[in-house]
Amino acid sequence: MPPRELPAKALDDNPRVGVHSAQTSTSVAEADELAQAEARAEAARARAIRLRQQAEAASSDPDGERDVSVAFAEGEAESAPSRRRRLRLPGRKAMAAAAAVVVICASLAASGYLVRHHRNVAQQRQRTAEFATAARKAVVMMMSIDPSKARDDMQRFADDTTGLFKAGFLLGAEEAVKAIEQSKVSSKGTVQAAAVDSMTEDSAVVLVAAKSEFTKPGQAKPESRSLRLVVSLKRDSGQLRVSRVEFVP
Amino acid sequence: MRRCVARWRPILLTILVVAALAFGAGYFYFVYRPDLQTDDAAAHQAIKAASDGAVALLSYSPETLDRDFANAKSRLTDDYLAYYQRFADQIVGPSTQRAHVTTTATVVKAAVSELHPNSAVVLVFVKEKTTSKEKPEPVVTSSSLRVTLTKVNGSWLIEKFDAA
Repeated sequence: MPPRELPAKALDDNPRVGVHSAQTSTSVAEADELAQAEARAEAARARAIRLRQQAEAASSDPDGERDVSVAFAEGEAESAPSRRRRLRLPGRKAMAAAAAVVVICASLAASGYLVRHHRNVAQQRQRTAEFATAARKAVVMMMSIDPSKARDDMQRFADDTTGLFKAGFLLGAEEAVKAIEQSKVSSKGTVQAAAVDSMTEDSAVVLVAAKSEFTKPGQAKPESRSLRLVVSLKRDSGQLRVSRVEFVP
Repeated sequence: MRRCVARWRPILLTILVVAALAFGAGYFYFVYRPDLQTDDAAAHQAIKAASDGAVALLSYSPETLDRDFANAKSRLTDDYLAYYQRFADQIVGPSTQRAHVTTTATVVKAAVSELHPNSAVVLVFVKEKTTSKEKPEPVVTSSSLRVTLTKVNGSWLIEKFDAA
């Protein structure tokens, strides 16, 4: 584009200078001088036309009209960088936008993973607390027996047991009730500490440190004994029940 | 109008990027990290520290008393160390030397009762075998211990040690 533009501009200036000088000369000088000037102007005009034809021949542009071609060239000279700008800028913007969307999606996905992980952890923590509480309750119930209502107390604990343990407990329960009713020993259990050893969705093994206080009929002061138990729990029809109790010697 | 829209879109995107990143980072730092610090691996570490600590604190013999005490002291926090020091110097040391008492503790069972990123309570069932000059036959006693641990410089130290 520049090679076409330069001659076009040169030929734009030249004839005007010639015409101008011709006009100024008419207002001042004599006829022959005027004629000379006219001849010079004519020559200049001819030269201009020649130059223009040369320029047009040199240019490969099919557009013959000088003004249009110049305007076109100038327009192109201006529009070319601006079009490049328009192409480049949206590109950069689009890329920034795409990168932003990618970053947002990635961090949302990561956050989703973290939230899910935390929900699992919280669920597990809650389950741990649930099992520990159930074990504490079961141990207290097992060790707190009032001789005047031994049968009820035993039955209540039996209701909180399940499986083979329940069968074994019920098998010996009748004897135990009789023995307690005869000896009139009242006992009261308290749990010092409980810790979940292992756990699945529906079962757990809980270590329980308990203290059993029992009072014999004649005694004023209760005797106490500390016990270590391993309590197994199972979820049975929606409720946590004792499936095994092991006394650690 | 168009200009407004063209200008608002990057602002909105920037806000979203910052918000999403801030949420993710905040959640990671304040929720996920503490979760990791209280997972199964952390529980195992706490159980191991409590078990080893209980064994170290409860096992001693007159021949190796100084070594036993040094071993025990390395597992205690500064607060509990002062208490233990008094207990060791005034009670355990003299009686051990005098009666030639040797005790060996073993952990029967241990589980985590409470677990937080920087503190834990471990329930430990121990069996102690004690022999003395008067009773050469070992006497076995069982007890349950509540071991309260504190994390100091990344490792669990015993902060409290009491019978449960």
